[in-house]
Amino acid sequence: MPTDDIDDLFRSQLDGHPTPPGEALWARLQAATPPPTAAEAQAERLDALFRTALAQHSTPPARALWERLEDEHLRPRKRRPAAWWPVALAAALALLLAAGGAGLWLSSPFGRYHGEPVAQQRAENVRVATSLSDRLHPSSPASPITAKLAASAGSLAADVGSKPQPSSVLAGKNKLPRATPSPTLASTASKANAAAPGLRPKQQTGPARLLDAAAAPTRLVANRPGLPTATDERQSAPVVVKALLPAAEIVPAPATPAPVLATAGELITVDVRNGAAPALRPARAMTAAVAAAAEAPEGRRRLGGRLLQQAGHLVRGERVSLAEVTGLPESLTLHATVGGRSLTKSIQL
Amino acid sequence: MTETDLIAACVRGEHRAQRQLYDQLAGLMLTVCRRYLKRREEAEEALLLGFAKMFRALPNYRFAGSFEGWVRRIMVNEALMQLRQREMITVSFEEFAQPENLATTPATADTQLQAEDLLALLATLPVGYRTVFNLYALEGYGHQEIAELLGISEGTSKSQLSKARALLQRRLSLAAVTPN
Repeated sequence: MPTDDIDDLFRSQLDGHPTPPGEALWARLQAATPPPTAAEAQAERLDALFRTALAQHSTPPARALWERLEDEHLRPRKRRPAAWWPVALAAALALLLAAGGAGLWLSSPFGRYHGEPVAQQRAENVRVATSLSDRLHPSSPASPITAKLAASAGSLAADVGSKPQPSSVLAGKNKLPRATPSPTLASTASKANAAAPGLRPKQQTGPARLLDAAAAPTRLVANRPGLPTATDERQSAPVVVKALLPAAEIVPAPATPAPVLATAGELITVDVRNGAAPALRPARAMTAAVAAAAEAPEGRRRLGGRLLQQAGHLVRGERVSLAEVTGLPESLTLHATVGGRSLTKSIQL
Repeated sequence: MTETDLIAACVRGEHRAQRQLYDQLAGLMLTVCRRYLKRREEAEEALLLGFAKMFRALPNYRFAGSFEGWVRRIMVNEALMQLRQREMITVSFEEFAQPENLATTPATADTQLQAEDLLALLATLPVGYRTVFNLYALEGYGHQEIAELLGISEGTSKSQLSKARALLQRRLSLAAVTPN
């Protein structure tokens, strides 16, 4: 049989010839794909429950949410500048005003260190002395009073009672440093008196207590406007700096004559040391209320400058001096000569 | 105004069109966010950030597929981001291992529950269970997609899903027993 005939034979006999499957074949096929279990059906039902219930569920958002969306995300550039520019402008103006005010304050006399001019304080001290002399000698305003001034080179005693004080000397005194405030020296004088042998502050009676009490009112009177100037004071009453110790025993009464004072008077010198430079200040002869005049060179400097200087010291690790800032002296030395005996007391401020 | 016109107006930056689109979709999308985040404030924060992203991405929308589905995917991504920032998506086996949490009875009266009840029920799930269940059962993601999205394996995704279902069925049955 030719080869082409064999091909046609198989093609014609087998094309479209069905072979029926066996009965078990379908059962086996059914067993290969198991039906969904109860658990799977339950899970599918659960999923459908949530899906259908929540698919179209709407939760109304808060009313402010759209405004937040607009402000923070959709139109942030239109509203924000209007919100912070006025605040920034107000803050800048407040800063400028504060800086200007501070500058005016520092440049004004109120912002400066309240160190009074030498002449003024000298005049105040003169007024104190005059007041004391008035209390001691109310009937003799022109009575001679002895004054001794201890300069840096030593003590200088001058009797200015009988002859007028030369103006050149007064001018020289005006150049002296600023005086220490009288209330401080008043208390210091009390200590000096207490250090004196045989004398206690409690034992001081009469004129001594009167003089102590006279210190503060005298200062108030000196500050009152309308009083004579320092120059007038010096011209009318000579400068008197005198220590009277022990005043309670020596000065018997406010009306005690001047000669008694002159003979009984003892000298107290006060050394005011300011900073490292040992500046021996003129002695301020005191009863209890006589003010001393001492002025540090830094006194005229503005407080801000001194603070900056101390800040610079602090930065450089150098010693910071409170005395330089405040203008107060660092140490105070009292030297009293009572009855031929010399007493020295140093006070470290 | 058709949806296409509305989207075009939003792309042009028209305020009224943006507000209209927000009004149309905000409620639906807030529900989506609430399914993932427990607290309403967190869901609203996600909605806010999601809308901001949607408006920014709107010029790139190609009108392929459902616009609502596109926005929904943005919201889901934003909610997942909030979840990552606020709490770790961790698997809590301890809660599931408790005997009282095992599903012993089939859910029967589940259809009687309202949507708010279902949301509250979802909120009781551990965050891992809740996230996988939401993604698979409600969003239609596959386990491979969920694994990539959450950074977990497919097996973990499947086990989280089955445990979430078991826990939900248990609680649904309890809710059916105690209607109030």
